Amino acid sequence: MLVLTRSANQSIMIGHDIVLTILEVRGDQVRIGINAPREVGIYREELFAAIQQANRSAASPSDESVRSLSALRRDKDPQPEQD
Amino acid sequence: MSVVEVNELQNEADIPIIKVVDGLPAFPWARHFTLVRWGGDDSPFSKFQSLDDPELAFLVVEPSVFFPDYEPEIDDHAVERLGLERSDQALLLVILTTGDRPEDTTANLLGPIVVHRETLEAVQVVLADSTHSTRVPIV
Repeated sequence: MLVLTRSANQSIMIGHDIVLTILEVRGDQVRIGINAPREVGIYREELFAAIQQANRSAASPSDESVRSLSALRRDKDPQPEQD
Repeated sequence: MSVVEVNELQNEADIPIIKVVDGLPAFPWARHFTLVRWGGDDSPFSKFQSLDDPELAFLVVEPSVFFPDYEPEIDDHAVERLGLERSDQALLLVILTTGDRPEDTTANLLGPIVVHRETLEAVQVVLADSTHSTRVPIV
């Protein structure tokens, strides 16, 4: 990890197109502004980590669990009789 | 699986292939998927099957089936990345996590998959609005 120390109103560039600016430091909170091309995703790290974790938990459910789920749904919402 | 093999597969089976352009969080190498109904003829569920790893698949559903009020704001990044010009070009899918019982099934509403209906390119977005959870019960 590259570690830099910045003060308010100083910036860091990532590549040639991404600029992080320290806008304000107040207590233990830092306001950060980010200029980046719109096609670059910017995420709060803990939310991205939550998605990673959810994807891992969701990966490759069994056919049996899907059948049970379909059956549950069918029992709850029976299809109306066809005329 | 190489891109050449994926293209051959597409021509052979004629099954549309969804291209997750940046991969999936935790599975960044998984870029090519098929989508087929899973669970019977009247099932709303689909299998999002990886072509890069045949052992990797996800249970997905259009969120409107269980969450009719769910209207996530798709950020500029995803719109730009997929070249979306109108909201009706976007197909939303949410990934379900199964549990020990079917009643334990939950939906990831924090990270929906957005598919461009015409190009079949897709991204899994991370909603900036963190009030959504990755584990919302569907029952």
